[in-house]
Amino acid sequence: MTGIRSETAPLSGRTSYQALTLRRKLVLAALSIALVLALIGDIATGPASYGLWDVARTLIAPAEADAQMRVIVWSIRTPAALMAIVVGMALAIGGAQMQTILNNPLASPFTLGISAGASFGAALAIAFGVALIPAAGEYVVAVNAFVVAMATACLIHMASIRRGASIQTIVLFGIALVFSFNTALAITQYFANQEAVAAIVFWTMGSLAKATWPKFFMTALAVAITLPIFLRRRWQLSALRLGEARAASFGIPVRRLRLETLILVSLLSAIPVAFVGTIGFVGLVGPHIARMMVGEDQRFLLPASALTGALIMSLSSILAKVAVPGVVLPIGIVTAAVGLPVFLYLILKNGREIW
Amino acid sequence: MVVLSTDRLGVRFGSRDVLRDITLPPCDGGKVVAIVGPNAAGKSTLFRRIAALLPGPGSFSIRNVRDPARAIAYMPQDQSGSAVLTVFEAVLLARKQVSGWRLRNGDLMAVDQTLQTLGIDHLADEVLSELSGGQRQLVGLAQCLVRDPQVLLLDEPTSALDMNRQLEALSCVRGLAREKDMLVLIALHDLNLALKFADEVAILSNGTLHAFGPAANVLTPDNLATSFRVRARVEPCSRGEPHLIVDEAI
Repeated sequence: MTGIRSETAPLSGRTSYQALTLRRKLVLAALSIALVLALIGDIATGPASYGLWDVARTLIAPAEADAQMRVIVWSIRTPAALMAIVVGMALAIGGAQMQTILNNPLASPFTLGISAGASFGAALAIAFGVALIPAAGEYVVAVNAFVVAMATACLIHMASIRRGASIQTIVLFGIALVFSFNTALAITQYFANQEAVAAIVFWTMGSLAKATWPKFFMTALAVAITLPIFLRRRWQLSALRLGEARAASFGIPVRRLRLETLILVSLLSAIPVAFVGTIGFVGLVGPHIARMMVGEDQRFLLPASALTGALIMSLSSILAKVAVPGVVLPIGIVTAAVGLPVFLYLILKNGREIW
Repeated sequence: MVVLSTDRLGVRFGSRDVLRDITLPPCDGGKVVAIVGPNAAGKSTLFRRIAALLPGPGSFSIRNVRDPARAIAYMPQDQSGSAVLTVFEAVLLARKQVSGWRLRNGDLMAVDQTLQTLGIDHLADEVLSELSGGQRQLVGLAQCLVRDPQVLLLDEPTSALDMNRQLEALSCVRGLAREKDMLVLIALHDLNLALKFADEVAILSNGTLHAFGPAANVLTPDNLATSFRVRARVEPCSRGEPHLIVDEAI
């Protein structure tokens, strides 16, 4: 066989690829350990200052702990701490996939208006009891959030497949959507009664305070449904980042893959918004940190994004409780304060080195 | 042996025929067929039609296919894309589109071997976005070869390569075609490369097939004048090999 002359490499590509894979698995393991530690820290902190040992004992043997402590640890702190983790996972996975399918480093459910759309849909239910799908029942807020989030995702999809739609066009379109939904939200608040306004405001800040076990399980379910679907398509999704022409030349049905992914992403972004309100920047920053650590191969990018998003949320949750003594800040404020500088960095860097 | 037959292939964009009535004689595996023609003659469109990325009238068939999923590999002209993937990962990714869900050792070996064949194994750990245009083209070629196709469609695969690498890449592709009975359709702008490497040449012009046959029979002054609008001649060089000399534009 004729071959092109090559400068001799010290290792075969396979060997160094296997080393790279191992390194990435170690990163995932380290992230998992950090997450477990953050979870313990999150459960251990709160306005009522219990010792770490007491909290641990209550977690291990709830029957022997005193009643007040059991309620605080088991019914308030643990669901909130677990909620932080699944919400972080959902948002970061959603962000990673939006960045992948739109080929855009600034894409995330928050920056492109999907979260804002979900907020508006939820506000309609909170303020006026409007059900966008009649059979929604007691989950009307969540269903509304999902419906508007999905409609927004479809709009973004249509904008992105137009001929000549550049990265900038899509980001600007997303900003326009954010503004539109914020305006619609303001109008909703203006006409809503005081009680509803308070509920909406509380909720646009994003807070884990109302986390319950059922809400946790539903969010976890959304992650548990979507993550395997994404992992199943990991080779196709990774290939999208090679550019549309090449992905199509591999025989990948690019448009269908994009649309289906967007629908799953809107599920992942709507459910957290419906339960804990708007939480910004986790879905943007989490995937970028993950990408810097493990690269673009979805086999590693997806779990790393999920873990990074969860870790950011968990640490933010701790920060929200300890930043101002005696006050639990809404977590959305903390993630925004932490995420905004990273967002600016991404814009000013122009994505060259990290994207 | 694989045989590609085309029957009145066409592609329409709106009401415009971009490609019309392309019927090539059956092309056998082991051969290199150069598709040449002036800009906008329909070369890329023909490839996209055969790669089933564009619908249109007419039909084509490939006989003696081993595995339909990996019968055809198509290398588009556009090799941009700035993923944070290493060359090894990018080539592996191409392989995994056709070789099942789980990563097997055989996949890794196939990637290694393809990189070695193309002489880019030293780039295996480089990140795609840091490569030069020529290196990207070689990676694009590797992404096709690693799938072990029976029909290979290459859209100007050597446009960004230096002379040395053009010659080496093309002789590598031709060697693989012979060795694996693979049919290679290759769009080329440099007609001297077509003369040197192609068993047969198809001239496209305005979306139709202008001429088809062995290079020496097809690249005649008349054909070059009507399709490329140049006055040109093919003459033996001092080593006796045919060479195309272009005198002037018409």
